[in-house]
Amino acid sequence: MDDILKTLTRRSFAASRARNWIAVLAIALTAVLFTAITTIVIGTAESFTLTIQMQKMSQSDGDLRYMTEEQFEALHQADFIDTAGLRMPVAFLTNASRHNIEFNIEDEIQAELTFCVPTHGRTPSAANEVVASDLALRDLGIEPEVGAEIMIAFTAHGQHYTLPMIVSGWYEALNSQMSVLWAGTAFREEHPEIFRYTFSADRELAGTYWSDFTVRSTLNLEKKLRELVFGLGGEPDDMNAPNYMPAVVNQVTNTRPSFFQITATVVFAALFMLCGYLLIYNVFDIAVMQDIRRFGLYRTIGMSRKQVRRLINQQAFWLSCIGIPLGLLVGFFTGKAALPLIMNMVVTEYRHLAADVSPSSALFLTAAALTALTVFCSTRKPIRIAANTPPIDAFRYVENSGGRRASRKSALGTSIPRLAWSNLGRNRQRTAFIMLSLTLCVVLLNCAGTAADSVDVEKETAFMMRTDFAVVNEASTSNFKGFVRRSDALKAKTIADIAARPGITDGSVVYKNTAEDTNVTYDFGHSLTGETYRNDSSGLTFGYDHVYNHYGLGDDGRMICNVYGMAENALARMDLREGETNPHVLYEKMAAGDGILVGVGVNRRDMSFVPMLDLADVGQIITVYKNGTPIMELPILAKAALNGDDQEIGFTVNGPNEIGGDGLFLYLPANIYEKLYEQPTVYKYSFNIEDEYEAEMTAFLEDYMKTTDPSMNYLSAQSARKSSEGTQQMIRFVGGFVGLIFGLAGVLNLINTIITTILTRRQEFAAMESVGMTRRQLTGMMVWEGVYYAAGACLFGLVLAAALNLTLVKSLVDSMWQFTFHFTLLPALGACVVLLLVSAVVPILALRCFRKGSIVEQLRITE
Amino acid sequence: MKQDHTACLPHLLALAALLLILLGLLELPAALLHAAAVGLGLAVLLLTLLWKRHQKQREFDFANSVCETLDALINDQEPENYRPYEDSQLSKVQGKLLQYHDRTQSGQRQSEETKQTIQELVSDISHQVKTPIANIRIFTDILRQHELPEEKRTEFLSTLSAQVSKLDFLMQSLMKMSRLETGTFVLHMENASLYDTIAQAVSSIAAMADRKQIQIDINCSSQETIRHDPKWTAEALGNLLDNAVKYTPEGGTVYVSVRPWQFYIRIDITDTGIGIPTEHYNDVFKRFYRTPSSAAAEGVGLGLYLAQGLITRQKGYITLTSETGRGSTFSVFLLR
Amino acid sequence: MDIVTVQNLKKYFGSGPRQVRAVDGISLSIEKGKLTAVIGASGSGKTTLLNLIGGLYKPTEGTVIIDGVNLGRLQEEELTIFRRRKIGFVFQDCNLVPELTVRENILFPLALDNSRPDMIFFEKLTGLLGLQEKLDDFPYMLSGGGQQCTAIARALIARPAIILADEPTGSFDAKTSQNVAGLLKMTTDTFHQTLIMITHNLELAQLADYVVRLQDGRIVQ
Repeated sequence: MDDILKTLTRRSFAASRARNWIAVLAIALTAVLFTAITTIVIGTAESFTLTIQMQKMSQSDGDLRYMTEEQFEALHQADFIDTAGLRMPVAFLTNASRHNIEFNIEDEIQAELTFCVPTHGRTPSAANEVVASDLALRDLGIEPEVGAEIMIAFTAHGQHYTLPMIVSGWYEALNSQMSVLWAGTAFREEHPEIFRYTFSADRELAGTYWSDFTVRSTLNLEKKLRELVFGLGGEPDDMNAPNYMPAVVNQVTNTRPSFFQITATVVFAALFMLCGYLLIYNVFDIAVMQDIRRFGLYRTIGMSRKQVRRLINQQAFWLSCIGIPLGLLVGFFTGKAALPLIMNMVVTEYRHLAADVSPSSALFLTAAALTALTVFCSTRKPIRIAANTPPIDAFRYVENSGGRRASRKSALGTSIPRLAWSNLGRNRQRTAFIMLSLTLCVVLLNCAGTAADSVDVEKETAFMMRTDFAVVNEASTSNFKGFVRRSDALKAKTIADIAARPGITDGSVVYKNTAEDTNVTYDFGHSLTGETYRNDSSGLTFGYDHVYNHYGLGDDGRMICNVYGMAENALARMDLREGETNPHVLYEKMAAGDGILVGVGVNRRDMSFVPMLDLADVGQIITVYKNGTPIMELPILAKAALNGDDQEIGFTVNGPNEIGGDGLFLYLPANIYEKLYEQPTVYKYSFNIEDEYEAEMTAFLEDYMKTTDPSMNYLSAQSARKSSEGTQQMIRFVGGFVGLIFGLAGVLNLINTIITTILTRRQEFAAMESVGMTRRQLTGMMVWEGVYYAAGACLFGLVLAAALNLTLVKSLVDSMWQFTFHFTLLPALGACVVLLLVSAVVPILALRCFRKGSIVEQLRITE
Repeated sequence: MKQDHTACLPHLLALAALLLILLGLLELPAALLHAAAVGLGLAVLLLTLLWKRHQKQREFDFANSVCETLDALINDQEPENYRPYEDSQLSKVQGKLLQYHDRTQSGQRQSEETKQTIQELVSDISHQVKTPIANIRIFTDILRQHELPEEKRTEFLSTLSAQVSKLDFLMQSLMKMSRLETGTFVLHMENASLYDTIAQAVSSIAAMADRKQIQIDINCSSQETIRHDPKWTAEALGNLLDNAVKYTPEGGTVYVSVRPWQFYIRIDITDTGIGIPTEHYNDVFKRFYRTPSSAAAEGVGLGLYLAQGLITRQKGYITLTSETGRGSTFSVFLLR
Repeated sequence: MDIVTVQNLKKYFGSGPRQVRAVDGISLSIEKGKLTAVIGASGSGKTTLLNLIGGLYKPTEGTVIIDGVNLGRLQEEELTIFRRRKIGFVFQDCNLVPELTVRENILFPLALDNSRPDMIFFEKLTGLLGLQEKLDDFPYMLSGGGQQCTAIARALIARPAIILADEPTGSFDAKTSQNVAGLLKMTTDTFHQTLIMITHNLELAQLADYVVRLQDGRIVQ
């Protein structure tokens, strides 16, 4: 029996090829949607993780430190550990100049997990072979080249070593500050004295075993790790214990998707499922309707309902077998292509941005499962109809008329458009489906268009940048570091090189205090709770006030604040709000030591001061302490509204957050700043540029960053604008994509319906032709029908789009500061025009296909 | 429903597999996976065992049910557990058994029917034979008892011989009929020229036609060879022609036309006789039936009956169209 | 022995003043192995009667008993199985499955019943109907008569209790019509099948052992 059903399924493929192609297309389209979204979701997560992993220089699940050899060996026995690398830190090289070079013994697993596998050459095998990064080699004074000889100098167990080594391979450094130079285990065998374990007694690192590892399952990893440490006889918490053995879970690798990501994915999946449902349901509904007479015959001859169901299920199955893989492929590459675009929007300002996704079974399985689910859901009802229609009724089946059909006799008396109008209600449900998908297309396109239009590029750019260019240390642009130490300073040579370029106007350097400048503190009468904590990355102590704002504290326990020193032209660019608002007057006064300018963070939506951060008033005196003694009393002359550029650069505020915390942002003239701080550190060089030099400058900076000073990074007004426009593009892209999908679904439905109409009304058409309706008029009638659908959808769509714009989109847009609501119906109108055109063309094409006779022939066969 | 348990099994297995995959996807710890795998293995084993048992039981039940049906049939009773509308193997087998039983029964019934037919035949024959025998007896009595003039004698003797030949014809017809009815009649199907067969049939009535000055018009392409029994087909056609000639007034024409069709060869025998009313279409082929209007013509009402029997045995059939007063057409359809 | 018994069978369509009494109280019984012709003008309820006997309609009133089974007692699915096994249909316009070959079409009812065909019977049947050479052809390659032969073979293949033929020659010219009717009768005769045939052709009706004449949903003599 299965055989005959299979034969039927197989043969019917050939017989109704056109219909099956539409079905395959519908299924494939659904699969494309699901694959694309899955690819993007997985890809974004993967790329994001990888990018951060690269910055943290580890893609392990966690690491263990300070182990003895026995403990390291025992580590491999733990059942949850999948792979574990070997790392034996020796020391930082003492003959490096600026780049920090860590000298380790490693194995290949460890190298793989920490991104230091040689990309050129090979892993070290002999005792005198090492692998290092390009930056490390340059710092050591040689060009990266396999086989080059270098000297390394380090101190271990109090002993100085200087050894000649040979570079067996090198890799590109991911981090400009630090990289690993590693040798193989042969080096350990050669110098056993370096690797004596004395950690428990003298805290000597050389001789301890470290390991980055991956695990089989990250479930309860933290707990399992602690148990492991205890089991190995280590102590995970107490830093001073002789058997201290910290176990750290790599939070970067093991991130959980955010609520927003999950919601967005679910919403998109649901939307796509709806779209797929609309399409596939319609295709099968029509197929069943066309074949209903045949099902009647089958049932009469003795096919049971179950068998009918199985027959259609099989058809759906085989169609899916073609459609799903097709969709998976197309969808995967679509998603892959869209990924960098989307990554660009989601993640701003990363270097080493990894935007790629590899095909994984999970990805395809998910997409295929979702598509299959959609196919399953959408075929339920058509199958029920096919199975439950009584045989004799099915045998005599004619599509039920809408009940308000114009009388056939007077057909020619009425106009063609009227005639077409009267045909619309024939199948309410199908009409509704077409309208729904076309309407959704119009509405979604318009919503996306409105949202994209509402992105306030100027506002965002203005917030990020006040000048055409700003050059800083790479640390400032990193979301994880920020300008914290004096070593994060912008190099004087870099500034000089840039300043020497033509076209620069208003060039100015900006000083900022660092974590080392703890001897200069400020008091403006703000009281703290006395509670403190230590910030690990800057090493500063922070205090709290009553609303849990936190403040970096200096040596004397007062706030160190975020203090900037700048020239007048830089100060003139700031947004002075209260007090003395004439920058020249203000600068004169401040330069004379008569006062200070305070910056206050703003609410980005309306650019008003944030009350919680508005801690001091104009006229209030700020006392400046140096080494614990008051040296100046500066009244607040003016208050300025801060943007990202004033605080650090772009959107990153890590630096200020690690130094002054929420404490006052103080702006001083360069002369006063230089007087206050012993070692004024330049953190930024900002300048405008004449238009004709802009491109040249960008090229210069890019090149400079690559070849001369890799620690530098820059932001330009142009790139700020680009990143803002990126958001706009993404909204357009995503909205347009989804809208397009629905439009496609609608058009496919329309094609389907029109073909069905032609099929089911063949006799009617023949009758009409026999009473003198020309082919032309017939085509005209079908065109009108298509246009009516589109026009109806457009009307609904426009109204709905307008309504949604003013409610949902507006409230959404208003809640985000980068947006300024901007009402538009242009995208909807554009979509309407296209839909109207398509709906007029589709019937013409469909009828033309029929005239060729191929389908008619097939019809005769199927009848 | 018993069936549903077995139908469940693949679903259960699939579910288990799915669970396993899900577990894998969730990257649960290895220990749990092992436990799950072992559990799954055990579950599969258990299910397999249960299923085996269940299958055995089903086989057993099936055999018993079939035996019950057989017992019922042996005892000439209606089987109680037969449901021809159930989608089950049992119902299918039972259906076949009943069909077989029916076939054997119908053989028995047929032989009974044959017996009855023979009885009817005997009574028919005795009825038909009665008149000529009575006539013969009367004439022989007259001849024996009375001295008659030579002229009269000759007349009586010829009447007598006419009666005898009628009796002879009757007996031959009856014999043919009885063989036809009881099925003790063997067809010799061979590929032969239909033209020859028709010629043979026509020759058997040529004399009578001549007598009545009836023209016989034959339209037949001579190449036509078909698989048939020439002797009996000629007999059947002869009967039809005889019938046609009999009911056609003197000077009329009988047309014989042969047309090859897709499945059949159609032989039309059209006369210009008295015709047969529509309501008697089905009756004329009945045994000893004579239409009221044909009472005048001689005959026993066996010719058409025999013709139909002979043609039907060859998987052909005869139909009739007629218009009262204008003539009739008997169409013989012989399978090609 | 009666294979079909119909008692006081009624089938009304619609209700109220527009009610149509398609079959209005028919009782008849049909002997096994005989050919019954149902004749009558169009609209006299012939097809409705046939559909009622075939279990395609539920009667408004009355019973249909086929081969000892009361159709009124069967559920929809049971009726389907019953039809599959006990009733063979021959329609006016063949209604073959276009995607299946002649062989597959003929074996279709058996395939639906998960049965293996009786090849001896199959060969006899197709031989009789002249289909041996066309078994692997598709229906559209056959003439109208050839298609109907396939339909006849399909109706007979499961050795049903009765064959229902609704104007089996209705869409053919006189010649093909004679051909098909002859074959139908011949095959049913050969295999001792019971045949109920609707026809408006009196010429074909004379092939029948019994003739049932319908008028306005009732039997007239």
